[in-house]
Amino acid sequence: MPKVYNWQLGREMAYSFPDARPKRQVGFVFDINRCIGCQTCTMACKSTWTFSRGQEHMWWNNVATKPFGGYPQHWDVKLLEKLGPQAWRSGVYAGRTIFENDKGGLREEPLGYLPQAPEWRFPNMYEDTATATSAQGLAQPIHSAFFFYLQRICNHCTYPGCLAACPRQSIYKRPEDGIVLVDQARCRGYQECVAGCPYKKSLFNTHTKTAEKCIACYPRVEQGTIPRCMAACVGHIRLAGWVSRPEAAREDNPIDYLVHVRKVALPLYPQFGTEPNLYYIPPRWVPRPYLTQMFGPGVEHAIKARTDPDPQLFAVLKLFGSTTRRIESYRFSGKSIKGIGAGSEAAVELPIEEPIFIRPFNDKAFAAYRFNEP
Amino acid sequence: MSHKEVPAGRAAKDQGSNRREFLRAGLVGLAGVAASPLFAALKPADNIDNPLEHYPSRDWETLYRDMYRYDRDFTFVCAPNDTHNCRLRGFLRNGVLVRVEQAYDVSSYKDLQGNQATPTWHPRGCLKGYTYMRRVYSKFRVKYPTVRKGWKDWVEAGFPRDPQTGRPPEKHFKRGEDEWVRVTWDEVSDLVARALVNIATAYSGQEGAKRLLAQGYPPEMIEPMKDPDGNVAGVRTMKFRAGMGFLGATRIVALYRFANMLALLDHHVRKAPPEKALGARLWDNYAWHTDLPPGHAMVTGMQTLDQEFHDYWNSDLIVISGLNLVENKMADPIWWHAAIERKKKIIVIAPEHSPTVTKADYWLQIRAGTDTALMLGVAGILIRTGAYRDDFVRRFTSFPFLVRLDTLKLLKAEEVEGLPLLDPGETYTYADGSPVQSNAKDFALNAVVAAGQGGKLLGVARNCLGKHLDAQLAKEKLTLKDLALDFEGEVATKGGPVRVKSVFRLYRELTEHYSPDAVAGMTGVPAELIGRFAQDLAASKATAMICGMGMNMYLHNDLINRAYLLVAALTANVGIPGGNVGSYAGNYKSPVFNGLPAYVAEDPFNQSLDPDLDGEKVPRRFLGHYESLHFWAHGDSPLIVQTPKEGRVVLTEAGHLPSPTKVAWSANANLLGNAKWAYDVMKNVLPNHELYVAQDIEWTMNCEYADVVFPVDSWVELAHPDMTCSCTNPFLQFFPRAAIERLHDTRHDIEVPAGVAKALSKLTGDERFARHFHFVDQDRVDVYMQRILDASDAFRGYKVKEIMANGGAALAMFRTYPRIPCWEQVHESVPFYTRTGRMEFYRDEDEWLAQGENLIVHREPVEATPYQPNVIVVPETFEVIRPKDYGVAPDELDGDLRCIFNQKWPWEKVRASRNPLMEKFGLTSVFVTCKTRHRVHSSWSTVDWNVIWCSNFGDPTRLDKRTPWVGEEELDINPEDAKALGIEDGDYVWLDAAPNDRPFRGKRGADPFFDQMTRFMVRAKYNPSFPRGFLNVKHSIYGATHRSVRAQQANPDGSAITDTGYAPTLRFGSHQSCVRTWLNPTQMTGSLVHKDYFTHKLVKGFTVDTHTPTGAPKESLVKVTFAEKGGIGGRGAWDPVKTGFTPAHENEAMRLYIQGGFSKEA
Repeated sequence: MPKVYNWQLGREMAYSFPDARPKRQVGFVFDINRCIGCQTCTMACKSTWTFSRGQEHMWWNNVATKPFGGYPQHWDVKLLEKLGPQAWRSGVYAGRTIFENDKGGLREEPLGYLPQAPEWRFPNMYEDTATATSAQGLAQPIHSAFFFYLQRICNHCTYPGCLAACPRQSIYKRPEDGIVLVDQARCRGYQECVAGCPYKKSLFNTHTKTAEKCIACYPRVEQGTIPRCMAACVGHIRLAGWVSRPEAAREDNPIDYLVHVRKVALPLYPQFGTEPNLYYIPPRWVPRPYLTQMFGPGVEHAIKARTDPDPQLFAVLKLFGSTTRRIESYRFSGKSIKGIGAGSEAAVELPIEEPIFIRPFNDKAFAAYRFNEP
Repeated sequence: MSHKEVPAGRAAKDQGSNRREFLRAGLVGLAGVAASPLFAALKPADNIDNPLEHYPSRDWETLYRDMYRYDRDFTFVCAPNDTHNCRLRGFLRNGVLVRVEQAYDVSSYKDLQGNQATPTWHPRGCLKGYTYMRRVYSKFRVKYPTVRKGWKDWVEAGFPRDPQTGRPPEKHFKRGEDEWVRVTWDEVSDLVARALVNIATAYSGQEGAKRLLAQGYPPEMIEPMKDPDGNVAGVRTMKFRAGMGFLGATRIVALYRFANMLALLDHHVRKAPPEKALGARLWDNYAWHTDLPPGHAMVTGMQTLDQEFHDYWNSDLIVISGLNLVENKMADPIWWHAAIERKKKIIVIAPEHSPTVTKADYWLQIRAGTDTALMLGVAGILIRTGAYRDDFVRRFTSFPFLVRLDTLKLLKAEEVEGLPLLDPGETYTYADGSPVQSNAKDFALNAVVAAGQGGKLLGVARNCLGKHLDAQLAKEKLTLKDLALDFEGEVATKGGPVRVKSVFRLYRELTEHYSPDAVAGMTGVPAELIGRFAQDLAASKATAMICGMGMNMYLHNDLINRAYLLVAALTANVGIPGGNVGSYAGNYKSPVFNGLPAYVAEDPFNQSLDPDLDGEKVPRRFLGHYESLHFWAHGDSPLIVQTPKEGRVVLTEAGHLPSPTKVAWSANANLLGNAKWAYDVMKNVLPNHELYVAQDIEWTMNCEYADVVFPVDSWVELAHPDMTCSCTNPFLQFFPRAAIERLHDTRHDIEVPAGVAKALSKLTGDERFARHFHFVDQDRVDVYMQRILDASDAFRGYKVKEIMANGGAALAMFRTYPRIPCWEQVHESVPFYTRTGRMEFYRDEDEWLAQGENLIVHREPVEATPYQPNVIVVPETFEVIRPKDYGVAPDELDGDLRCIFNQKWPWEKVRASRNPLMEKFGLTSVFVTCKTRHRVHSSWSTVDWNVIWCSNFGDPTRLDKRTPWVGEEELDINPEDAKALGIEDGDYVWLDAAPNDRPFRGKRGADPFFDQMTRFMVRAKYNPSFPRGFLNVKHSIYGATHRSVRAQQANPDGSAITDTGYAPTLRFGSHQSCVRTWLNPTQMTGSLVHKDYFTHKLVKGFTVDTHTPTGAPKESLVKVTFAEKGGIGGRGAWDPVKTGFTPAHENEAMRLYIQGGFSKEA
């Protein structure tokens, strides 16, 4: 029975296949602090990939309001309940993953459940719904009554639950970029992956009768362009690039910098054990126990770094939303930051401070007078 | 969809076996036959030892690459009424727009000097731009010109009319329940032209006036129809609404150009000479939406203060009030979100736990409609602690001015003998020395201040503000500090001794009644938080007070606006980078194109056909007249009330008076659907119209009740170019021509009035009608565009052709980037557009004195309050507030009369009172209608994806057949309130407001179908974010119509989609069932001096979208009643409620989950 090393858990764990990391791994950072729950990402994905017959219920990207929302309904509380209360000790996960039985051995199939059709209804259930009613306002650092947005796509995990669950090995990771795909030619629609993915990001197409999932927009990734949902993000919350293993992290790679150097971005439910490659900057106002349950240890550190950033982190945060090109490295000069894309192309340059221009009242060159009040 | 094929794995597990084992056993057993072709499908895959490492057959990946492929891309502008005007990129495949992305081009936008915007603006565009193609290809498009049969019959019968009253026969006007007839473009233009001629004739002259009076209109409404000789012009019964013209400077505004052109029709019908001919009436937009903050003009003389969004980058403190900035203004959130990493503070003022609250450093949870009290409380603290900016206040406000306590008027310099006048002369001039505010002398008021030891009196001229004040004081050997702020004394006027107090002193005395404790009682905000807020305001170097419609949609929005400006002035947060009050709603700022009169007002008797004429030289005659649309939604009448003490009182001043509406024509607006009191309009106003025209892309409620519907191009089918600009960004955006072929028999918006103009030429023989749209005919709309640019200060120098060839966008040439309101006033001492040249905090005109609002004072909302409606919250002994008592009783139910209930009650008495509507009608909760992120008002109601996401109930499979389409609206209700009423999460409920006038005025039971259709039914959503007694339904919904209610009964699938292609998201009624139109006397005066709409002159009284009524749709009190159970088909509770994972029903696991108990650090 293979054992693999999961750096997010700080230990080895059981998995269905031997360790084999891709040459490069797509990695993403989502800053929850900036999300406005606008669903632009949702519609970007929908209009590209899931607008056909059999996909009416399908949203590869969704944004839900936590804690009451979720797509499919209540997916995370249901799985957490199945898994039962677990613990971390000194940064190492001391509980069991979805792959492990009580003795730390490999389960027959990943712990999970198959959502029934009606659970895919109401994708935006309980939008903007708080945990409790306030009467006298709220204040930082912690809002006692809270809600926030959780943006979700496939995490293109290092140790995917879907891949482990498939009886035909119709799901694989691409060696060149770590994107996880369901082979639409070989899938037979058993839906083991739908049950086996703890994030419920493998979905069933009722017309083709296959499972479909987020493909990380690989036709764009192959051209050095970021996925549709990332380009769509008007809130500037998403950054797409490559993520390295911790020991290979490069400070001038923005994803590595955020995840491994500043440690301001954390994985979603790392305790499931799949080593997801999407990292979240936690929201600064939410009670820490809920956030720790969701993102593991390191929440307080992440929030501190985010809300009191050094100049370099401030600059890297400016890269979000600036270009549709994948930024593979950056150069920070103090006054500006340059993002460099695939093949060393200059993708974008941003000033750190924003300009103010003042124009003359009498614009003689154009025989015009200028006003702020029209 | 159903998952009938539950795979054996999970299901089989329940029976104790395991699919994987089954498969393995099966495959092994079949290995021998695996080679056979018959069993090829069962052949085990080769060599997939480790799919983490290697996958042998990846050819299938071409599937998604093929899906992704496109032929070419283009850019277009997404310009609904949200202010952003995002430039988007569309992708075409086989000529079909398959998807959209933001253009990421803003960093290439330049101005005439080469300044550029930064990539920080990227990407710009939201979910609605991404689903735009579903609007384009929607089955709910208006596909061809459509005319209501009954109306067509009336026209073809020769316009029969009753001999006494002139009314057409009722049988021709059964709107909403008639048949529709498809016609050609020539036919529809001819029908409309004939109707315009007939209606103009029927209501002209003495005959016309007689008919209107016989129909019941008050004589005051005939006055606005008269030419200078007193002759009545029938064209003045014609109203045109270019829906948010700023969004399409030529194509939408074409309707206003047409209205002005109708002076030609008047000339024909009345044989009036051109100098006496009148054009039609032009309805407003900004104020109609209640987007206008009427108090801004009352303080600064300007229409609205609003910073562009990138100015928030410069703020030290961001206060967001009555504006759910997270859910709205979604294109540009980075500018204020950056406050987090820049370590600036964000403070939110809101009644509910909105998404914006989640971003706040702290939240002032306020009772809706009490912002004035909060701001007076803050002002009081600043004044008493001396934390206000005394230099700014002396230089730029009316605080030092003296008020006569006898008349309550400002003391004027001329009333005092031998007063030295501080007067710097003309300070704001063009190069030739002529003053920019050219007629200010006609309106100037020279006020009086006291200075130095012994209170020496000085007159202050209008131009003497800012640095000029310092200079003029120095001439009198005085410094700024010598100018008294807090003054009381006696003045020897020419008429005798008069006691005076400074405006500042009056506020010091007033705010004693707004102590932190009193204000805590009025607003619900704890006293210590009010203190903290005041401290933070005082300490901040630049505070943006970002205000929205949450506080602007009350009757006393002008008091609220004035109160925010009061605090801004006290803290010098006016006109500096990052420091301003900004009010935000729709994209209204047409005056940015101040050259629009070159297009709207081109003289129809003398058009220029020269394509190269400089726009400033276009001959202009504005013959139309603007009018507030609120009178239309107020029974098509002004505010005239019968009062107990003063008899019949007309509270709408002559300049505001509406004329009777016989023709109503709107473009780019769901006029009826978005009308407050829509069902009252439907029942009591529409029957008096003789031609109702809708010009739109999709079939809205406005179309359902029209006589003529013109179908128009979507934004990717535009036959002609056009342009727009914004109040929240400096981008001049050009609409390019069509990217796709027209899908239906549509025309471009500009071609609609152009076509009718041609038909009018045919009917009258006068070429000038058609000539008025000559350049449309010539396919040279760019000529009109260039003329507007030439004559607009922000764009003179730009060439249409150059911009179109270089990406289609450029930066507006304001004085500053970002555009900072009042920057010139504060940095260059340019006068404000008021009588005194300063920010004015004391209104001494008779109308304000009569309403008790000479000072800014808190008044309870006129309906949405648990206490005495509309009461002035100040002790009876506060003698500087002297409202006119019309004798209206505290328990008066009539909405109009309640607007002039002018009594002063101290807070203690108010707190002990109860809103009589609650007693009389059992109303329990304040009802608001916030704006949703999923639509822009009612636009995008036609897109299934947006509808699925807009509530708890989005379901493409419609498992519950009661759902009107793939989703429906929801009512945010506090779970405790709901439980107390026996209402479960997901149940259907009715919302009823005061039955004396809502949903309509009229007898119940007379038309049971109409009663049922108009009673608002909506689904409950348990939402703890909303406090008790405070309900919300997101506004601008496609509500129920006659046809949609019948459709629900007739359609086999139970949906409410009509044969006309209208898909409501409500079964019955609309949020408009619970709201009505309110007219505030302080917004209909003939006295307010302020900036003219398109020029830098001053004007007095009515000005469109500046000084005019605003409607107050949040003034609504309702009760909630259970209607139907939420379970499928009305059986039991809505499914999710049964899980134990929902609000107010949390089971043990859910509670543990919310506490974070499933994974801890041990």
